[in-house]
Amino acid sequence: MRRGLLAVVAVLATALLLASSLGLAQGQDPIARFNVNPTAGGLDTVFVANASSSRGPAPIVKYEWDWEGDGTFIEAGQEATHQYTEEGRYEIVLRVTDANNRTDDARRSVQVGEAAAQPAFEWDSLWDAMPTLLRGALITLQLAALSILLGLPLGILWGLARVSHFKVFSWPAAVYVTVIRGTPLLVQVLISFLIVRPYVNDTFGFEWDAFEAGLFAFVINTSAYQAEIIRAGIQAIPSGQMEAALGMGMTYRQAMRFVIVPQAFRLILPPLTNEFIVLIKDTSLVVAIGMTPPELLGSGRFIISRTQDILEIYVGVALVYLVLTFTLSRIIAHLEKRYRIPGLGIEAPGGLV
Amino acid sequence: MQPNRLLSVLFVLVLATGALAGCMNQTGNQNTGNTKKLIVGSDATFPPMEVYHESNGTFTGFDIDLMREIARVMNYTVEFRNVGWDALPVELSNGNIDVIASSMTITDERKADREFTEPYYLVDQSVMVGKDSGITNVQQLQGKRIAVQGGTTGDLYATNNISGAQVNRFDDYPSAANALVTGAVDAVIMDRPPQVFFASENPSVVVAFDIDTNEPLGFAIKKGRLDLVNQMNDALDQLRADGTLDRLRQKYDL
Amino acid sequence: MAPLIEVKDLHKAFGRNEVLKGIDLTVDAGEVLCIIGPSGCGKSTLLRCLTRLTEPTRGSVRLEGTEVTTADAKTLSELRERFVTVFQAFNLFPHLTVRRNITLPLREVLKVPAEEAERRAMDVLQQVGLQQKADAYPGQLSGGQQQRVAIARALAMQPRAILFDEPTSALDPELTGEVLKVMRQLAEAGMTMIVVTHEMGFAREVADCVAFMDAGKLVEIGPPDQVLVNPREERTRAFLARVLGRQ
Repeated sequence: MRRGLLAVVAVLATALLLASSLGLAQGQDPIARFNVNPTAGGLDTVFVANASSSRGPAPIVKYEWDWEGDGTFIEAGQEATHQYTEEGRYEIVLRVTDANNRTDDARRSVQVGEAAAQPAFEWDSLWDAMPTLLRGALITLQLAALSILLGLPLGILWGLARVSHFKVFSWPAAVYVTVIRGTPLLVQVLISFLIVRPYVNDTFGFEWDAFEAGLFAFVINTSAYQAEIIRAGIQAIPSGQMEAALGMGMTYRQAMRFVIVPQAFRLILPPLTNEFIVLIKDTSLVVAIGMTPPELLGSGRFIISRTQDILEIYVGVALVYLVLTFTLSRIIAHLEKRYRIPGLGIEAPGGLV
Repeated sequence: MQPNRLLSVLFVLVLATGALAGCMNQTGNQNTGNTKKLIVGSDATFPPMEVYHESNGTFTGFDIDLMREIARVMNYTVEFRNVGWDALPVELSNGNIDVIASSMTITDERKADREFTEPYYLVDQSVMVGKDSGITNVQQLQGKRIAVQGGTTGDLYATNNISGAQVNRFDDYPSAANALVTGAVDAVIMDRPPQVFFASENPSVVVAFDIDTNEPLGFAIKKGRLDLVNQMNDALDQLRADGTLDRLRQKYDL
Repeated sequence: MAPLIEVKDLHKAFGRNEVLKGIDLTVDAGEVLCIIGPSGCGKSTLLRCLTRLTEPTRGSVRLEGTEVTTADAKTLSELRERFVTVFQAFNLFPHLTVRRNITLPLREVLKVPAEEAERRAMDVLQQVGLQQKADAYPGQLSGGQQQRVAIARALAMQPRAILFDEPTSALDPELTGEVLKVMRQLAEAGMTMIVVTHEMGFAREVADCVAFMDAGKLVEIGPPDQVLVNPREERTRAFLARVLGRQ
């Protein structure tokens, strides 16, 4: 009785299995698989492709091979060979057909002859990228110019506070300058974007996005450096100048206006213009906060994301920065030369940057 | 020592240090074919696909697990390296890594400078917005501020397909997503899995809808290494056949 | 006639360091007073206190009858217009031409109209022999020329007196002559001058009165023949011996 039951169960199980696999077979494609050896060679290499790993619920009845990858299939066996007549990279396609007339394709690549060398440097990519990069450069200049312009009055205030005899002014100014000059600008940009911007938007109802946040960081940063430049400029003027002016009956204001400030201005101008040039490079940091429309570096990275021409684009970006900074420093040098006062050195006191 | 002498000695020292540092960098290139190890690069800031845990230096994620399985089938050991998204192709082409496993979509531009395995997963882009934004379809994104990770297919989609979009490109996905949370942008476009994961941990944002781009993800390999491509494809086949791939997908809810 | 400059019991201390320990002094109009003494004796400080370029600690300074130590800012400015200082470091304004160095105080402080200021500037430049350098910048001039311009600048103010603070000490020896020559001409023309100096020859020949200071005190004062040739005080003698021995 038990043996009989066992037999029935076994038959039923097998039948079920068969039926289910048949049922599956009704609805499933075969799976095309093959190996090709070798994967690289020359014109005298015989490439051997083996499709024995192809499988399917139904038996596979036909193997077709497209060696050139151009769509023309040649029927051959499970194993096929081929020799190429032209060098290049080929994608071999195998098409299997099973007993139910269902098909599947598989692809493998081979390299015949030397791989086409990656061109060392594609000047075309650089050239094509230029219009976009130059548009970005315009944004860079705008950002730098705005930062310097807004930072200057702030820098003057902090600078005068630094030289003040009143501790209530000079001490906070010293702290401000030390902190801003002692922390990386990138960190300041991030703090401005992540902390200052939401706070300002919530508290004052502004609508700052990455541009305003970046500008804020740059203005704060440059004002600290400018404060030091101004402080050094004022302190570089010999005290005898003020004495001579006062000693002839000038008031303090007259002395400042005609004697001190004009001289301080000449001393301050070179390092100040240098700060502008530095700022042009520093604006590239806004890529960390995703500013849009993108400045020079951001434009470059945008192009790279589309074309993958990493080398060419970064070289192009660097070149444009170089053109910007070099042109500006030449213009400034020319202006300094033009307005130079004979015998009066206008070198900036010490390296402040 | 006279000043001139001292200067030249210092100069030589500086040069030597520089040269030494350069040499040490090169040892990263050591993975020759003899040692059976795969070095896998990943921008592991992307749960649930790939994450690097600072606290104990481990990698987890769907791509990570899948690579482990592939390596196991191929009888290789595997080592993961956390590499910034932009640097991945460079690291691949100069041999510092063997494989990129980083939810990388197979595109024609990318095929120009690297090999890809067969696709192991298909993704759609998804759009994540603030929970009260009221944005429910693509047309409403026109003219909006959209955060993306620079250089991803999400970036390409936003740039090419959404008119008037102000595309804010960030270096990594967490920064882009964070920009949405702090209100700097109106939407984030990225592959669906990480967005769903992020939204599940940040109640202030939701994944509003998907964009059916049906992108195939593949593992990238240095151009010309066709043998490795084939090996990995064979391994993938096996993992499909024995159900490992399905199991991993279930594990990560993909 | 009241003295032009009157100093009574003038004290100056920098912190705890007393540099002037009670100076009494008078200078009449037209008089040339030379102040000599070793370094650190306070002679420059004394000169500077006269116009409050340095603030006295105690005592009185009267310029033309007006008390300087208590003068308000406006009065002080006005006094300084008439009692002008020429400095050791010249202190010309390097960003302005020689001409403008002179016309600036004329126009802004004395409110002299432009034409008159120009005329006066060329006038004084001629006096010091530098009219051809009117459009040069101070940086283009030698030390001696710069100091002469500084003197011209002071002269143009038409001051009641000119105070000289070691005017030749910063000059190379070969350049001092031209400056001393100008100063002698001024003295001969009747300008009231107080000159702090090391130039004993000049003091001997040009001064009406010589004062010797040492350690903040006025040790001896009198005509040059007395103070320089036959000093009464031992310290004066010792100082001269050192200085003249070197010369």
